[in-house]
This record gives sequence, C-alpha cells and structure tokens, in this order.
Amino acid sequence: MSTITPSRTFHPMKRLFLALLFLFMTSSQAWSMTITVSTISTDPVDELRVFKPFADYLAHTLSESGSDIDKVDVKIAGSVPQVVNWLKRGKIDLFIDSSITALQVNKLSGSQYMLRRWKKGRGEYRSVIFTRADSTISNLGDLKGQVIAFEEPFSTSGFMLPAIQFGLQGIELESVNSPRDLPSPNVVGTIMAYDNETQVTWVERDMVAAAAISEGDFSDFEKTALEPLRIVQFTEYVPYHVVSQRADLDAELADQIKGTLKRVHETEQGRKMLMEFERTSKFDDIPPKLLSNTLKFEPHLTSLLPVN
Amino acid sequence: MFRTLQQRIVFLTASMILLTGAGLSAITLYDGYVTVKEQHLEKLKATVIETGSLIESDLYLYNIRKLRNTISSIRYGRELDRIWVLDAGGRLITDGTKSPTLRNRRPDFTFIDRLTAATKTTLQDGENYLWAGHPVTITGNDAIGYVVAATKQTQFQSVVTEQLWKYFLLLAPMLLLSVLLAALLGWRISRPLSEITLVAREISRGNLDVRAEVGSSDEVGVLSHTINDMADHLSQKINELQDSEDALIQSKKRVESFNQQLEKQVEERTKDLVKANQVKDEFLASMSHELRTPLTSIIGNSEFIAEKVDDQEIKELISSVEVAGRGQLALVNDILDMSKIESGKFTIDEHPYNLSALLQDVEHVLVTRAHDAQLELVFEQTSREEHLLLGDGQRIRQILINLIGNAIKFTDTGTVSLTTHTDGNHLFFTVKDSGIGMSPEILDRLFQRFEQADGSTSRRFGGSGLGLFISLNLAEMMGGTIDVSSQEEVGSIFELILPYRPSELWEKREKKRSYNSSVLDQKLSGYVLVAEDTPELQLLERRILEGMGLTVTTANNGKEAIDLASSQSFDLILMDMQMPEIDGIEATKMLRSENNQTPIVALTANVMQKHRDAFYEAGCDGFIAKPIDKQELKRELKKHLH
Repeated sequence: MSTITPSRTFHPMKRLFLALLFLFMTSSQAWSMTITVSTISTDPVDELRVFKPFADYLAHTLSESGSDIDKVDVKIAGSVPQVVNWLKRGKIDLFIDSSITALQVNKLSGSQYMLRRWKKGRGEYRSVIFTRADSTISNLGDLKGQVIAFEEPFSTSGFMLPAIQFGLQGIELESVNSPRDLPSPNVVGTIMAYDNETQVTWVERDMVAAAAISEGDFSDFEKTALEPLRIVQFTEYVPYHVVSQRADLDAELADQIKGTLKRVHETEQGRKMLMEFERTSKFDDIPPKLLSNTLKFEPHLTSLLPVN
Repeated sequence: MFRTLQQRIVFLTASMILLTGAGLSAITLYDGYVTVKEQHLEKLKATVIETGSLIESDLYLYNIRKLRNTISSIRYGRELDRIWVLDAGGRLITDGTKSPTLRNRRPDFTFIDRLTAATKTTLQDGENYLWAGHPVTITGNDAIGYVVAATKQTQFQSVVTEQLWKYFLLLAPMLLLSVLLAALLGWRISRPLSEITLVAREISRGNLDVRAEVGSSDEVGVLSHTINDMADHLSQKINELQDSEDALIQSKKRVESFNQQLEKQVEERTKDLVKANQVKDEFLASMSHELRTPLTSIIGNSEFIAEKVDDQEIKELISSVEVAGRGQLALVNDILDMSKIESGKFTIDEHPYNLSALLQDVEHVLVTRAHDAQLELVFEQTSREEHLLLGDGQRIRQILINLIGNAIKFTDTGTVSLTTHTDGNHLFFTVKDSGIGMSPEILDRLFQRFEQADGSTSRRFGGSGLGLFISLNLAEMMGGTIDVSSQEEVGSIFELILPYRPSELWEKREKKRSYNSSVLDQKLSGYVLVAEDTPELQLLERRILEGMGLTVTTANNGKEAIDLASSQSFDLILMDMQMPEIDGIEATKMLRSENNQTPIVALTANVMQKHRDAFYEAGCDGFIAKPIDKQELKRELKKHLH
C-alpha cells in the first residue's frame, strides 16, 4: 500500500498575488529614490537650516529632470570620522565642505571630488597666519614656544592649510589646553578656538601669539580690529568649497546630480536658492591647477594631522 | 448747530461719555505706561544681572562663540532690542551676531558712559531706549566687562497705541450704544414736546379745538395737562368775549341806529331852528326898523313941539310922550340885544376908543336925567389915559348908561357917582348910589332876564328888566364882569371890570364939552341936503335943521341925492343908510368918485361899529346915530359948516 503525501505547491491565485506584490515592491523602489547630503558642523541645527532649502531644490530639480530621485535628505556630522563612517556605510551620498577637509574625507572613505562650490561667491581661497602688528614674530619659526589659535580640526582654512604649512616648514605642533598655556620651547602650541572671531579676539587681546584664518575672513576682521594686525604667512590657493561623492555612488546618478548642480545658477529660481545657500554663486568643475594644488597636500594629511 | 432737543441730548450724552471715557483711558494709559516701563526696567535689570553671571567665564576667556550664542539666545528669548557684551573699556565684544559692525567700538550712547563710570548695575529711562547695564566682575575685582540691554521706547508707545486701540474698540461700541440710547431718550423727551409744541402752535393760531395727549404723569405730562387747561380756559374766555362782542355789536348797531335817528332829528331840528332863527332875525330886524322909524318921529317931533309951545301943561304932556317914546326905543334896543345874545350873533367890535370922551358922552346923556331926579351926578376919573384904549366903546357906553341909569332910577336923594380907575391889568368903572339898596335874595337873581328887585319895581320904576342881563353878557363877552354889592336903604355899588388894553394911539386932548343951552341956541347957516326915504323923518329932520337956521333940500333916496348934489351946491349932506334904489353908502361912494367934496355926515339907525367903518370907508366925514340927539347933531354940523 502506498500513501500519498500532499505536495507543498502554491495555488495558482496565490502565485499571481505574490507576483504582483513583488512587482509593486520592486517598482515602488524604483519610483522613489532618496539621496543624502552631509557636511560637518559644530552647530548642526544652523547647518540644517542652511542646507535644507538646497536639498529640497535639488530633489525637485532632479525629479523634474526625469531622475528617479525625488527626495534629498541632510545629515550634519560632528567630525571627519563620522562622515567617513557614513560614506563607507552608504548612509550619505554627497559631502559638501571645504576642499582640504573633503580631501581628508576622500582619503579616508574613498570618496571623490565631484564639483567646486562657489561659497560666498568665492571659487578659491587661502589661509593667512597673522599676529598683532606690534608683535616681534616675523615667520612661523618665531612662533616656537608660543601658541597659535586654530579654528577647528575639520576647518580647511582655519586648521588644515596652516597646519600643513607648519609641516611643510618642519615645525612641530603641540596641542595646549588653554590659550594662556605655554608649549615646549621648540614646538608651536596649538589650541582650537572653534570660532574665527574668537581666534582674532585672542590675537587682538594678546592671549595667543598668532591665529590662522582664511584670507577673506582676515580682510573682514581687519576692518574692526582692536589693534592693527599683520600677516606672517600665506598658504597655497585651494578651492574654497567642494562637493564629494560617495565612492560607490551609481555613475549615472552621479552624472545626473553633477549635471543638475552645474545648471542650478542658470535659472532665476536656482540663483535665488543659491544666494540663500551661503551666497553660493554656482557649482562648476574644479580647475586642474587648483586640483593639483590641493592634491599636493594629500601626503601630509595623515602624517601631520591627528584625526579627531 | 443743534437745533433740536434730541440732537442736544445726543451731543451732550456722547460728549460726556466720550470725555469721561477719554479721561479715564488717558489716566489708565498713563498709569499703565509708567507701570509697564517700570516693570520692564526691572526685567532688563534682572536680565543683565542673570546674563552677567552666565557669561562670567566666557568673558574672562573671551570665548566669543559661546558669548555670542548665549547673548543671541537671550536676545531672541526676551525680545530685547539691544543686548551687548562690552569689555572693561566699554567696547563691544558681541551683540549676539557674527562679526558685528560695532565690534571693538564703544557704542556712542551716554548710558555707556554712565555705566562704565558707575561700575554697578545702572538703569536709565532714556530718550529712545530703556537701558540696563551690569558690570561683570570676578571675585569682586574690577569689572572685566559689562552686559547692556535696551528696549526701544517705541515698544511702549506701541503698547500704549495697542492699549489705546483696545480702549477705542471698547469705547466705540459703548459710545455708539450711548448715542443710540441718548437718541432714544431724546426722542422720548422731544416727541411729546414736539407734539405739545404743535398743539401750542395750533392754539396760538387760533385753533382751540386741538388738545395735547397726556401720556405720562411726569413734567411733560403736567405740561400737556397745563396746555390743555390753558386751551380750555382760553376757549371759554374767547367764547365769552365772542358773546360780549356780539352783544356789543348789537348794542352798537342799536346805538348807531338811534344816533342816526337822533342826528336826523337834530339835523331836522337844527334846520328848523336855523329857519326859525332866520325868521326871528328877519322879524326882529323888521320890527326894529318898523319901531325905530315911528319912534324917531315921535321922539323928535315931541322935542320939537315942546320947544315950540309955551304952555307949561302942554310941554309936560309932550314931554311925557317923548319919555314914553324913549322908553319904547330903549325897550326895542334891549330886546334886539337880548335876541342877539341868545342867538350867539352878538359881536364885539373892538377899536381904539377915547375913554375920556366916552365918559363925557355918558355924562352928557345922563346929566339931564340926574338933574331932573334932583340928584348929584359925579364923574371921577382918577387918572387920564395917555393912549386910546382897545375895546368896544359903544358897548361900554351902553353898560355904563344902564348901570348909572339904574342908579338914578333907584335913588331918591343923594348922589350917584362913577369912578374910573385902572390897576394896569383891569379897567374899573364903579357906579355907586345912595338909593334903596337890595336884599341878598334879590342880588342872587339880579342878572337874570326880566328880573327886577321885585314885582313892584317895574310898576314903580318901570323898565324891561333886561338891562343888567344884557350888561353882564356884554361885559363877559368883552372878557370882563360886573360885581355888585348892596345894602338895603344904604345904597348899591356896581363895578364893571374890563381888561385894560391900551393901544399905541395917543388920546387927543379935547376941551370939555359944554352942554349948556347956549349950544342949542346958537344959529347955524348954510345949505344942507337931507337924503332920507322915510317921509316922517324927512319932515322931522327938515324942521330940526331949519330950526337951527339951515336951508334944507330933501332927497327921497340915494339916486336923488346924487342928482341933487351933482346939480346943486350944498354946504353939507346928511345921508341915511338904508334907502331904496341907491343906499347911503353907495351914494357916498359915487359922489366921492365924482370928486364931490361936499362934507357928508351919515345919519342912520345902524349904529354898529362896522356900519360906522363902512361909512368912513365910503368917504363920510361924520356919523350921527338915530334917534337924533339934537345937541350931538348940532355939534357935528358945526364941525363942517362955517
């Protein structure tokens, strides 16, 4: 005698339902794509306010241009490692920040420069190291045994460019806890002010011997300086701000985004949005000379700079 | 502006509410304004103190980012117009924004000077801002900086404005409601008043049937009631007046009708009277003429006969005829005078007259009668008049003859005197006798018509009893009177008192006339034309004139007189007045117009002054009254005959 075991086969209607469900799910994924934009800031709320209109406009433009992307999120990171982590794990797709910071992020996460951002209408910039005019310091070496105020560890102009400049001249830097602390006599003491206005104030009030900020900011602060100031050192020009893309971002999508961003300033609505986005005038490709200047800093990034 | 009571009530109520509301609002607003400011200053003070404690360490380290964040959050959280962190020198460190334009600059406000000088918590109610400042110190040392907060005053003004709007929004409906209520109240008050006014106006126009509606018991109701009462009362009075007026109209009609009848009667009577008077006058004139003519003849002829006969008995008989004739003549004259007095036709002819001559005439008339009565007649004139006097000399003469004649008549023995004097205002003629006198009863009715002392008087002394009546009337018509006093058996005094009115003409001095018999005895010579229509008088006059020695030619009327005077030469013409064909005056005028220069003397019974004047105006040279006084005639003739 034999027994018949019912086979575990699906009813034809069930098969049809499952097929439709699969198609719906897969299609809905294709119809609704989100990308995420990020930057580093110690004031995430302010930055979120700045980036949100840009993100919304980008989403709207991409969607209208036929892209699958209909939403752009914003995530504000507190440090370079956090951004690197997010990029590596695919949490974010684009990183917009200063060029050297982006260079460091690129180096650590594998991301790549996409475009240059003309933040505050500026395509390139450099840093200056300055003191009070009445100071005896005339070069970077004179700062040994004294303290220089940087802005913050992820600031291109306020930290990375000037710090690399010290490295290029073979001058060792040493972090101190207070502006009034003194470093070893053969090293230059560094302290993060986390605010360029604070940096300038400390120099003006003789709390530190020098400070490093972007050349443009220096020109602004010089006008309201308590005491006359004097520049001791300029750095190389680098792009002011850049856009980096995640290493594994879909090339077609990346092209869509790149193309869209480059055309934003061509419309009235786009220019208006860019003006509110920290007076950005446009996005364009990074000129080769500037790119070359920037890439020259890459070898010094890991050796000279501590990653916070 | 507001013509109606309702408008005034609305205006007053709205104004009162608006003023009260505005006043209260202003007080509340001001109070609120001050309170809010004080509260805000306290808040500012708390803010700067609290902020100071929050930023102590950041200020010490000049951690601008943290200072900025702190100040920014406080600024936006507390709605401050300014909040600053300043350094010890008062320079701006942060105002909550990045890179402020005032960075490192000292704000140009006096409050900053006050604050940095005081170095303690300071408040100020400034012109544009409310200020609060607080020094930041560490462990009580000198200030390392300051916190300053400020609020614009306009903020409070906006609070006031906002509050004002609230009040307005609250007041506006209240005002509107009040105006509506006031309008309603005004309407409630004015409507009945308007109705009452309409009623009063209707009443004033005479419509007394309208009445005001009494809708309430308040003042308006009382007013309505009062007006209705007034209308009732007025209506009643007007009805009464209407009745009275109707009665008056009826009475007036009756009176008018009666008056018309009376007037008609009076008119008829007047016509009758006028007619009767005319008849009477005509009768009297006729009677006078008819009586005078024979009397003149009787008297004249009696005198003539008496002179011609020698038999004493016949003389006395003839004399009694003459006396009777003269009595009749006097009676005729008296009756004529009385008639004229009663009919009001008696007129006084005022002309200048010679008082002395008048008195001489009177004396001459009466002296014979006094002599016959064996009485002494004394005339005394206390002062001679320098001027002729104004008055009716003929009538004065008549009164005096009457008074003196009476005195002679009623005096048996003794003296009758006439004394004349003046006090400058009046002329006094006092006739005094020593006669029988009169009792007071007789004196009372002495001047009445036909009145004599008693019934026996007329029998004893004769007379008509008209003399004194006429004399008194004449005296009164001349503006004078006659006083009388008398005592029985002693005598009487009659005093004629007349106005003393001297003229501007001087009195001629004449020699006292002599009335002795020699005047009559003197013979005259010459040719005289007598114009006289009455045959008896013509004869009498011829006899008298011829008796005087004159040659007489007679004419029967004026025409004959003119013819004779034109054809013959005469020494004198005696001209009667009333004559047929051509009267004496007309004849005289014609003779004078023919340049006839023969003296003409009027001889007429028309003795009125106006008749005298008419003769003189016609061209007469003399005037003699009838009945003829021979002495007077002869004296007049002597003037013109040589």
